[in-house]
Amino acid sequence: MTIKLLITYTLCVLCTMRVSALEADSAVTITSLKNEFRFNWNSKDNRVEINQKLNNIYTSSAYQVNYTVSEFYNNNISINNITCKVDGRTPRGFKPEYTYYSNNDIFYSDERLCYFPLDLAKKGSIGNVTFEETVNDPRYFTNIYFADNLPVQQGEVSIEIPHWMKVDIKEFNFNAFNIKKSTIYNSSNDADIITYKFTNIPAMKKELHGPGPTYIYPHLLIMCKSAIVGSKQFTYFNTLADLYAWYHELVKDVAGDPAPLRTKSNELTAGLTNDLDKIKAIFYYVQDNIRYIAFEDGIAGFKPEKADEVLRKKYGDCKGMANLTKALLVSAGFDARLCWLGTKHIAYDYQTPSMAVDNHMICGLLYKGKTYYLDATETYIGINEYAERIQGRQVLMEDGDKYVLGKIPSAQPQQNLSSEISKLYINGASLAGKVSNVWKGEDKEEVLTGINSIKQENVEDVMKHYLAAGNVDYTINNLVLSTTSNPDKDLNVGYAVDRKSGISAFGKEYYIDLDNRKELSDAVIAIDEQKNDYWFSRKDQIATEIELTLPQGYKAASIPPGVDISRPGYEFHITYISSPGKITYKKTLLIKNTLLTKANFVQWNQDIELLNKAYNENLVIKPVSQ
Amino acid sequence: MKKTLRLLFFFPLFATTAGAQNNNQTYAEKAAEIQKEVWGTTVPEFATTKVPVNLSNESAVVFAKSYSMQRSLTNKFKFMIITASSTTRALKLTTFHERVKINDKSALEDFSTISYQKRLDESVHILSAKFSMTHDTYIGAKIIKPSGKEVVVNTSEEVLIKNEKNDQVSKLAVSDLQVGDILDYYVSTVDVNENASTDNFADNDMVFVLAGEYPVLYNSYDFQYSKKDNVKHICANGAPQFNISTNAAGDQIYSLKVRDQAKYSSEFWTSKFRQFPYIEISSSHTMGFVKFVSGGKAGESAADRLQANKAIFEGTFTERNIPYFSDVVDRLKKYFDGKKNIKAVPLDSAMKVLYNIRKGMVFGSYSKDDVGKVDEINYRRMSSKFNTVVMSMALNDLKIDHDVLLICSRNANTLDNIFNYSDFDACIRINDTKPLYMFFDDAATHFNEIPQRFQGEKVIVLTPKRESSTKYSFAEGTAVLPVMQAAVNNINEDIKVSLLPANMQKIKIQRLVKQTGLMRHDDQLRLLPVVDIDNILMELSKSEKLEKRLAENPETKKLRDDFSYAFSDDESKSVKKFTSEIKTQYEQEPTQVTDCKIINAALDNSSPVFQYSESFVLDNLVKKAGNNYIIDAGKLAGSFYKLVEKERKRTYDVYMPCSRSFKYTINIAVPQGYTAKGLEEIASKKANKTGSFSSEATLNGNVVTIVITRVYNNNFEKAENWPLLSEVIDASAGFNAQKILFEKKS
Repeated sequence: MTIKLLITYTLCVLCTMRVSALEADSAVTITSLKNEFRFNWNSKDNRVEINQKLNNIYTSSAYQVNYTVSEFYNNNISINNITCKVDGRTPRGFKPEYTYYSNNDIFYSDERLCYFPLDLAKKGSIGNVTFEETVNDPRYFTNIYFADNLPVQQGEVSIEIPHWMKVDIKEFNFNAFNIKKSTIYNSSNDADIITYKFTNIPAMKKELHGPGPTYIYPHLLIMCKSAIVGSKQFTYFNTLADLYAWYHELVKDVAGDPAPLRTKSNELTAGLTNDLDKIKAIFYYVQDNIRYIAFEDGIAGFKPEKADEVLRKKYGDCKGMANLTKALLVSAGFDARLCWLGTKHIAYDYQTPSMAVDNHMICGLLYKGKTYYLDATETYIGINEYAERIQGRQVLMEDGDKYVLGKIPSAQPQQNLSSEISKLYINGASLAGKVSNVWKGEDKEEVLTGINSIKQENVEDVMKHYLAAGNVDYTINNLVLSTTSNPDKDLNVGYAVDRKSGISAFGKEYYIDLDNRKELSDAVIAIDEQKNDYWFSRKDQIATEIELTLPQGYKAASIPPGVDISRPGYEFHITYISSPGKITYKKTLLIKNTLLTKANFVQWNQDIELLNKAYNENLVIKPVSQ
Repeated sequence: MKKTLRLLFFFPLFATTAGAQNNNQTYAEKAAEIQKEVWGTTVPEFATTKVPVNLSNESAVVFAKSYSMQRSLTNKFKFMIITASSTTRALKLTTFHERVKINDKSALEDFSTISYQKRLDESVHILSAKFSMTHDTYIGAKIIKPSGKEVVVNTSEEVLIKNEKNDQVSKLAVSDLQVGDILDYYVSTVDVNENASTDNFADNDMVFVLAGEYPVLYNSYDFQYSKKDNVKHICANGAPQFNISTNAAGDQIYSLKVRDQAKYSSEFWTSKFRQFPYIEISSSHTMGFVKFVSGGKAGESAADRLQANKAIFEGTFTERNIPYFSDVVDRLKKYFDGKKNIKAVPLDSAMKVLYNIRKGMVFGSYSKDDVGKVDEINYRRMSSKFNTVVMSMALNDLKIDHDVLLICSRNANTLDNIFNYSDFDACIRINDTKPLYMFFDDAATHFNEIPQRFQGEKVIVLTPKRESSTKYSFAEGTAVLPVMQAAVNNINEDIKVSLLPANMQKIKIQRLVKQTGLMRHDDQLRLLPVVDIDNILMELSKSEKLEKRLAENPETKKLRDDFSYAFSDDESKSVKKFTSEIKTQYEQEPTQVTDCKIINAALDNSSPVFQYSESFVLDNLVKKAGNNYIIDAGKLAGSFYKLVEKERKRTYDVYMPCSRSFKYTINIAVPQGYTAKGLEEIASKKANKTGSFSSEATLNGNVVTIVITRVYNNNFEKAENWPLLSEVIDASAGFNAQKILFEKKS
């Protein structure tokens, strides 16, 4: 759907949720889920812990079902015990595996995975699995989900909170589900036991173009604020200031050795007199020269690598790149700061102080009364341009011992532009002429990312293939691509084209299909498959103008009607303009709002059908005499 | 064992052992020693810094690459409490060293991470003795900046992504690597193996294709084996020969240097192990193949190697080891109600039954694992060598004149380059008035059908003679397998097209597909439900019903319900399979898929045409133009391959899947009130010795009929015929652009 891509662009998504990445299996259901959480004082280690007992009962609805049970853990969450019984017996050779979790986005992570196969041989077989775990720091106890990888028929979640522990619990996405809450007091532990009972929760399923799980699935956001145990007092994240204080402590000495940073900063800004040019030189250097590699190792998942180290290694993750950007700017005399934020993938903001709120770090720059947000992980994006995933997001910026809350500006669709202007004429059995393309913003970023992922000797061929929209009867000559090394500038390409597709002759009449791209033509949403709202990857503007010079003695016999659709979230406009000796096709597609709610799917599909109808209308030209 | 292309090599597939290792060295000490040795090389190519002008636009250029392997053997006693045994300890040291110039971000991405098995200890303990099997890896990397400055990468920045006592896997992001730098790195491994059972030719086999993703200016291979080792090697498809020598200790040394190795550019219709130079080398101190034939001389020729593999194959003709050949004979007798009746029917009929009986025995047998992998069942294949032996013994018993043929696939090595026992296949040829073939392959293979990968191939003909139950002798000859005519491998489609009255820009297609010969296999295996194949094969061989077979097999007797459920579930996915087939053909998602039917399963050559039908609706193939409609007639039979510019020049011979022919008859209903125009433009004809294409459109009443034929005459063409073949491909592709106008009558 949407724009044709050169490659799939992998984003930096540091999801702090502990959700298994496995697909749901329709042959197995969780007929009973019972998760118990209890705050506990560990006097030996002098800390508050949370003991978790997670029990699932799996029932198969088919034969020979092999389901993999998995559970994440890490340096702060340990698995103490696992029990597994199938039809009342421990499976022979039951031996859970413990391994590092890996995916393509993360180079190394301390996140571990414990997994084992659950063989349910018969229809109706029952697997009973219990994990007993400990969270060793309440800061890391952030979410409790009621959903699982499989559908849950009946579930119960209980949290025992002693009165010496201050916890706020926020409920998310309860509306659509049947969830009942009750609270009782346990006098022997002087604790409240809050219990949630629920039925029929669907499986958690990762949907392409769907919202993040915090938007959809019923869950609790746990905000551990403080604890007073005897004479000992612990402050976790009572307020946002506490959260910031903890982050601030982590970044206290991450600048590293200033000497190499100063040398590099001077080198990058040598000869530049304008401040903005200096800022750009530094920002674009980090974008272009530091490879993105994500390390997430316990505290390192939150603590940036030292800036001088990132510079030396020439790789880093978002924290490292933000830190280096800041350090180089500071060396150059600018007021640059670290900023924490959550990408659009996360439903929360800093109204709820929790480590679950943020998953990204960028650099903030205060310059002449304006705040610039510099995200070096977005390669090829210019200063003052913002990727969709961070637009409109709340930002926690350091300000010494205090913090400042800001917001990333939202961009207009016009920030991201794919424009194509063609001047064509009929050349025998083909359409020929000159074409120029311009890309801006995230559209440009997508094209440049694709170009730089390809071997340089293949770039021209691949570019031609991309410009021809995969049509092999295109001949492209004299291709001129603008410089790809300056994110400040738009990306341009110009070329001469001769295309056989798009024109058919019947007798002396020509039937012409001018638009070879037909963006969004396959954008129908499968309503029975897309369970949640649809999120476009970005706001966008696609602008196409094709001017066809009519052959001498020819006129337009039938001009297609075009389409004119304006909805709050998107617009589709196609018009044909007739002028002496010319017909001009103009198309504008706008995605103004990246969120398309389920309620609007039917309307969207109808509008795509109308768009396709317009795409499938040909221009007809014939001799004036006819 | 399937050969794999080995372009980069960090995870050894085998372990060897050595006796010279200093066991007291720490890992760091050993690493330092190796680093000194590798970077102390005097090979001048490893000091290169300049890229030749003609390669300046390459993504990366490998200045120098070397792979060296050293293997030594010592005897070891192992004391096991009250007894002792001796074993051979093999030590293998390998070093892969590469120096590469990084010219763009794509190459930077490729070379910026090194992943490796840092340590693996699979030692076994028997009583008090430990039999070592260990593997350790050492890496080093340095960067040469454009200024000439050398920066040694700190390899302790590695991260362990697996860190168990006996199993460590590591990953290193190469620091400070940028476009324009030269990366000089190595990966060295030390393997100790005291487990003789894993020291065989198959496990020690190494294959190197002399072609890579990047151009290589200098490439060297050096293998050093103990004098006790049996070594065999191949330098195939024009690869330069090894320089073979011995050193003072009697070690065997095999060396090879290649200069200016061009990069491999992937082309379609090629056969890598027939067309690219490669070297293959292996050793074993326990299993000298040549011992079977000539008493164990090292460095035997390709002929000796082939002879040794033949000897092993011939050695499997032992009735004691394969007693169930008699089951096949018994079942044949039962099928015909007695031996006399077998002789009463024509030979080819009897042989077809015999073949189907054997097929039924194999494909009608299931393991307990099959119930969880039903979608893989149709893709099972018979073991060609084993089933050939069974069948040959049965034919001997029936006194049927036949030969056993040894053959290699067109997609793999030639007969001359057989290295391991798994590098060739076998089949039966019955000597009747016309030869009759029995190939043991997939469930869709017929009696007397030659799989496409064997057609036209040279074969070794072995004529067996039973000397005793434990000895068969063989007379030998050669032959070439025939290539089936294109008409035998045919797809014939009848496509009825109509525009939907409610929306004339959507078309309804009713499609009847008939496939014969080699063109039916893919769709048969994809579309036929597993249980249907089982039922048909059982009917053909008069075998027991599925329920009974499952009950008689100890592995599956308790899983009858499970199999029943699994097969039923597979059947229910029929529409999905047809939809997937349509999507492959038309490159778009169809809607309203209905009437999906298998008309003839064609699992036997008495009814050899695989037929199925389906009905569906497609979008975006009809454009509106005023009151008129234009239909993309050229796309109604699906897309035909179109050559891109760089494919027009070709130096490699063309290995096509098979000779084949296609016919599409498309009948398009002209909407009422419309006339059809543009039919004459559809006429096209191109024919030459490689093949032909034709298309023609006629109007019959209110139906436009388009007939398209395509033929590729041969399964192989020399590169010099590529321009002719391109003409046929272009003519087909040109058809895809054809359109028909439905003009509204005034």
